[in-house]
Amino acid sequence: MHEQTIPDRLKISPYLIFYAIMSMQIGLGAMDFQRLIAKYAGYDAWISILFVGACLHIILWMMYKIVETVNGDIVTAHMYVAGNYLGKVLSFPFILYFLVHSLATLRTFIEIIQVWIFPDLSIFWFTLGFMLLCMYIVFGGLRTVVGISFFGLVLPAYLLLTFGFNLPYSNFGSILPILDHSVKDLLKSSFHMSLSFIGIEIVLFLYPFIKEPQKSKKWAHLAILTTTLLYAVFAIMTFAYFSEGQLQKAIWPTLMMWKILKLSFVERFEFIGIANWNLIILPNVCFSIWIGSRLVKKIFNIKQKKGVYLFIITHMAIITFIHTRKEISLLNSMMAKIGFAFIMLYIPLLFIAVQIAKKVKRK
Amino acid sequence: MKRLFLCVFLLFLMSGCVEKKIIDDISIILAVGFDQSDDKQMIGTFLTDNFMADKSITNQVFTSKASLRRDLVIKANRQVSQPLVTGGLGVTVIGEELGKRGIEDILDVYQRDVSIGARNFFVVSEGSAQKTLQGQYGTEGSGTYLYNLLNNHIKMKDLPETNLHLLLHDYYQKGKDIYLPRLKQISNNQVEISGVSLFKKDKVVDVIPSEKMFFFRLLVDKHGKGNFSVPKKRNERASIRGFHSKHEFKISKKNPSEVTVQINIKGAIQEYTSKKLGQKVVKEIQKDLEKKVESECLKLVKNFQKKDIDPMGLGAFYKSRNRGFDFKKWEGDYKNLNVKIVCHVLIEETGISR
Amino acid sequence: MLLKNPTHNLSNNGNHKNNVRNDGDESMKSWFQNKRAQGDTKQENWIQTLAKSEDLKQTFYNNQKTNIRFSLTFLTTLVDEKIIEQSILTSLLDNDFHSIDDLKRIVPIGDIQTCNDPSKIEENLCNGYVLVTIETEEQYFGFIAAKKEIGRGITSPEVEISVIGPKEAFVESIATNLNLIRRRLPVKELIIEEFTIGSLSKTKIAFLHMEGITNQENVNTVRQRLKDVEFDAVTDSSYIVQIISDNSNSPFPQLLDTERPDRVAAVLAEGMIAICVDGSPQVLLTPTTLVDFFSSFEDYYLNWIIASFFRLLRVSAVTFSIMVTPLYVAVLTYHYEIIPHDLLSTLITSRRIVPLPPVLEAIILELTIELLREAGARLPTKVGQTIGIVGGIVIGTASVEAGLTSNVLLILVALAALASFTTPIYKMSNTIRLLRFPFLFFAYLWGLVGIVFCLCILLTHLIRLTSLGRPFLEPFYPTRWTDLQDSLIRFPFKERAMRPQYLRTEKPYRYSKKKASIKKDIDE
Repeated sequence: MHEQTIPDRLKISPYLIFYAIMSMQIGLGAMDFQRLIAKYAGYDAWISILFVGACLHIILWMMYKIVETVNGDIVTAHMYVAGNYLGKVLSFPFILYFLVHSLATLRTFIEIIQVWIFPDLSIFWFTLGFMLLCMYIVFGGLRTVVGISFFGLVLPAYLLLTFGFNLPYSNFGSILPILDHSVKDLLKSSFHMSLSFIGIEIVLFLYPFIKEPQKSKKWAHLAILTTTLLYAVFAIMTFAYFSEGQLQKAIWPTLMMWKILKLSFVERFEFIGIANWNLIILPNVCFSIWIGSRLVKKIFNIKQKKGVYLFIITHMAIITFIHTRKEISLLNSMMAKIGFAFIMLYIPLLFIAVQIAKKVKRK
Repeated sequence: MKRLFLCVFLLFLMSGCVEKKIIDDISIILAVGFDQSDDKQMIGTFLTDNFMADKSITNQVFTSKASLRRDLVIKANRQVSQPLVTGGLGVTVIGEELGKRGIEDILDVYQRDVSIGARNFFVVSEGSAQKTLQGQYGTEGSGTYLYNLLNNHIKMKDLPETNLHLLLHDYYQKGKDIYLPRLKQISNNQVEISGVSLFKKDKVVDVIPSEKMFFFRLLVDKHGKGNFSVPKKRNERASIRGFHSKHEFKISKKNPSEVTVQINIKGAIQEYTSKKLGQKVVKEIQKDLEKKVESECLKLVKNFQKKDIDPMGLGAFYKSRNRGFDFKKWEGDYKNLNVKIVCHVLIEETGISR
Repeated sequence: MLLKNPTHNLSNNGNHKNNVRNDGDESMKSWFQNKRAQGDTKQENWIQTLAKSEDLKQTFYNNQKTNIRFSLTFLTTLVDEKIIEQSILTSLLDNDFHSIDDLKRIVPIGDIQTCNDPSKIEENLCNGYVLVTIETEEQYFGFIAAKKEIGRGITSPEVEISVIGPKEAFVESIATNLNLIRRRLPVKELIIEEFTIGSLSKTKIAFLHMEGITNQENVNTVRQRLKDVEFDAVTDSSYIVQIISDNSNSPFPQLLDTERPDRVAAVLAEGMIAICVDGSPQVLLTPTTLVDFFSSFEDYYLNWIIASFFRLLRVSAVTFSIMVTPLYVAVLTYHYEIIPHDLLSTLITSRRIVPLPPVLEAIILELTIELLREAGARLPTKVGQTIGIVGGIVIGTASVEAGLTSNVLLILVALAALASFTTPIYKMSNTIRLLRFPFLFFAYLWGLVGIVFCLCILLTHLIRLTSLGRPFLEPFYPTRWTDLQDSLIRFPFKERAMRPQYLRTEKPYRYSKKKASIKKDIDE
C-alpha cells in the first residue's frame, strides 16, 4: 500500500475545513428543507433539525477516527479493511455518489432559474458554461476549490440579513404548541432533513490535504454546529412566516420568503437572491467534481485531469435528459436516501470495521 | 489559445438562448380585475400605463373573456402591441359578484405564479372590477394611484394590514378566515375605501362598513397605528392621534371556552372641540373610548360567531395552545365561545398647548 | 607631432577653443586596421560596426613634457566634452605622462580603469568612457569616465499625486533613484544588488531588499527570475513586470509600480522587494496583493479614520464602476420586476425612443468614454483636456437628444468612468475599465445570473493568481486577521506592530508590541 504524500504547499489550513463543510452542506437542500420536514413533523420539525445536528457530531467523530487510524482518505480506509483490490472496488460507488450529488445540485439550480427567471434557459448551454467554470476552478487544485467555498459562503452571507424583513410578517406563536407530534413523526422528518446535511462526508476525502489535521477537528465540529443552528433558526423563521397549509404549497419556501422583501431601490429581491445562489452552489459542484476525479485517479491510476474531463462529459450527457419537475425531485429524494445511507449507516459500519481491522492487525 | 477562442465562440452561440424582456418593449400590468360573466366564463381586466414623451402617464385597459385564468392574459395579449407581463402587478380587484361565488381558483393561480410579488394588494370592488379599473385616478396612473391609496391607508389609517402573502397565509391556515378591503368607485375619477369584506372560506359573506373598520382593526391586527375621533356628549369630539394599539388573546384557565381579548391603546389627544382640556376631561375621554371599543368590538365578535366566520384567527390561536387540537370539534365550539373584550386606554400627552 | 591649433571643435559653441584635433577618417581607419591585424579576429565585427557610427571620434595628441603620442577615443554622444577639455586633456597634455598606469596619478577623475583586454573596449565606450591608448603600449588600455549626465531633475509625482507627504518622484536615472531610496533607509541592512539585462539595451537593474527582514526565499526567486530574463531591449520597468509575473495572461498587474520613493522605502521596511530599472521612473514592488493596488500611499499620512473612509470609498467606487453598466443592462433587458414603481416611468421614458437594445447602448457609450480617455491620453495635455470636456459634453448631450442613448445610462456611464479613476495605481485602473466588458457580455447573456457567473470567474481567477508564489487575494483568502487590519480599513499604527504576514518576513514584528499596548488608567 503506497500512500503518496501531499506536499505542504498544496495543503490547506485547518480552519478552512469550516468553510469547506459548511458550503458543502448549504446548497442542495437549503431551498426547500422547511417544506419537507414540516410535512411530517409540522411545526415541531425544528426539533428534528437539532436532533440530526447532534447525531452528525457523533458521525464526524467517527469519521475522524477512521481517517486518523488509516492516516489517509476513505480509499485508504477501504484498502486497510478489505485489502488492495477489494478496497478499490468498495470505493468505486463513491464516484457515482458524487456524480449524482453534483448533478442533482446543478439541475435543481437550473430548475429554479427556469421557474423563476428564464423559462427558456437552455439546460445544455448553461451546464456547459457552468462546467467550464468548474473545470477552471478544479484545475487550480484544492486550494482554489476551498477558496471558492470560502467566498461562496462569505459573500452571500448578507442574504441572511435579508430575512430580517420577514419578521414584521412573522408570528412566532404559530410554532406552539411544542411537541405536538409523535417521536415517529419527528424521526421521519429527521430522515428528510438529511439531504440538507449532506456534505460532512468530505472530511473523509479531504483529510490528507489538511495541514494540521488535529487542529481541524474543532473547526469541523464548529461547522456542523453553525449549520445546525442556522438551519434551526431559519426553519423557525420560516414556520413563523408561513402558515402550515401555505408552506406545503410553496415549492421553494426560502425563495418565497424573499418575495416580501422590498427596498427603496429593489422592488423584488428574489431575483438577486437566486443570482447569488449561483455562488452558493458552485462550491458544491466543484467539491463533487474534485473528489470524484480524485477517486478516479486513485482507483484507476489515471491523471486527475482526465477524471475531470470524464466528469464533465458525463454531466453534459446526463443532465439534458432530466426534464420534468418529477424527475428532478426523484433525483433529489434519491440523493437524500443515498446520502442518508452513506452518512448514517455506512460510516458507523466502516468505523466498526476499521476498529476491528486495527485490533486484528495489532495482533 | 485555441481553446479560449472555442470558449468564446461557444458562449456567443449561447446568446439569444433566453427570451428578452426589455422594459420599453413590454406592457407591465399594474392592476388586474376579475369579474364573473353570466355564463361560466370570467372577465379579466388588465390595466397598464402608457408613458408619454412629456413624462405624463395615461392608462390603458384591456379586457378579455375566458374560462381559465391563464387564458385571460393570453387572450388580452392579442389586443396589445407589446406583450403583457405580470411581474409588476400591484393591485388585484375582485368583482363583487365573483367574490360571492368564491375566489379559490384565483388564489390558487396567485400561489403558483412566481412572477407576482407578495406585496400585491387584493381588494373587493363594489360593482364590477372592470368598471373600477376603467376610471382615471390621479396623475401618476390609475394602477399606481390605487396601489398608493391602499398602501398609505394600511400605513397610516384604519385599514387592517393586507397583502398577497397575508392573504395566502390566512387562507391556507386552519382556524382563520380571510378578509379584504372594499373599494368603491364614486365617480370616474374618484375612488374610496368603503369597508372590509369578510370571507367564509373563499366566499364573501359579510361586509364591515368604514365606520366600524377601526374596531375591526383592533381585533385582527396585532399591532396598529392610526387616528380616531371619540364622540362625546353633544357636539364635543376628541381626536386621538398617533396611537399604538396592541391586542392579546387570553384563554381563561378555569373555563377553556372563555377567551379574553385584551386591547391596549396608547395615544395623544390632537384635537378637542370643547374649550378646556383638563386632567378630568382626559380621564373622561379615556373611559369613553374604553367603553366604546369594548361594546363595538363585542358586537363585531358576536356577529362573527353568528355568521360562523373567524377573521381573528381564534381557531389558530386555540390550536397553538392545545396539543392534539381537533378542528372538527372546534367548529361547534366556536359558536358557543364566550368572548370577552377588555380595553385599556392610556392617553400620554395632550399636545403642547395647555 | 605637436598639435597646437584645433582643427575640429567638439563643442557646439564654436568660440570656445581647445586643442583637440581630428585626424580624419583616414587615420582612424588605419588605426583600426592596424588594431585588427594585431587583435583578436573576433573583435573585427564590432569595430567595423562601431566605426560606421559618426559619433565615434578618435584624436591623437602629443604630451608636451614627455612628447609621448597618445590617442583619445570616445563616443561624442555619450561623453561630456567639458570633462575632456577641462580635466582629461589638460592633465594629459601638461603632466608627466609615460604609461597608461600614470593615468590614475595625473587625471583628477575617480573612475579610471586600466586593462589589457580588448573586449572591454566596446562595453566601456558604450558606457561613456574615454579610451586612452599610447603608441608604446598597444595592448594596454586606459578608460576614463566622462559620462554626460543628461536627465531631468527630480519633480513632483505625476501619477500618484498626494496632497500631503513628500513631493519627490523617481526619475529616469537609476543612480538618482537609488539615492532617493537610500536616503530614506540609511542602514547597512538595505542591500542593493545590480544586474545588467537586455542583450542590446544593457539595462542596469538594481534590486533592493532588507537583510534580516525580507524573506530569503522571495529574494532568491526574484534574483533567479531577473537573471533568467532574456530580452533584447528592456527600456522600462514595465517590460520586467510582464516578463517576471507569475501569470502573464492575467489582466491584473502582479507587481506594483510606483513613482514614490517614500512608498518604496516604507514597503522595503515591511519586507517587500523593490526593483529599480535604469531609464524608468517607476520602481517595481513585489510580492503584492490585490488590496495594495487600492491603497494610495497618502492613506498612511492621514489619520486612520479618514484614511479608512477613503479606502472604503475607493473600493466601493471600483465595485460600482465595474458593476453599474452590467446591472443596467441586466435589469433593463431581463428583470423589469425589480425596478421600483417610481423609477419605472423615468427609465421607460428615457428609453422610449432609443432604438438600440440596452446592451448595445451600453457598449457604445462605454466605448465612447474609452475613446475620449484614449484621445485625451495621446494628445498634448492642453488639447487633451479640451477634447475631454468638449467631447464629453457635446457627444453626451447630442446622443441623448438624438435618441441614441438614454440619459439615465449616460449618467451611469459617466459616473462609472469617474469612479474608475479613483484607483491610485494607473495600471490597475486600466484593468478595472477592461473588466466591465466581460461583465456586460454575461449580463446580456443571462441577466443577473450572468453577472454572478462572471463574478465567479473573476473570483476564481483571483484565487488562482499569485505574486511571487504568494496568494494574490490575501488577506481575504487565506484569511489573515493581522493583514486585514491594513486592507479595506487601515488600523492605527499602534495596532500594527506586525509586518504583513504574507511576506513571511524574518522579523515579524516591527517594534515591541508590549510597549505599544500598555494601557493607562484614568488620570495616570
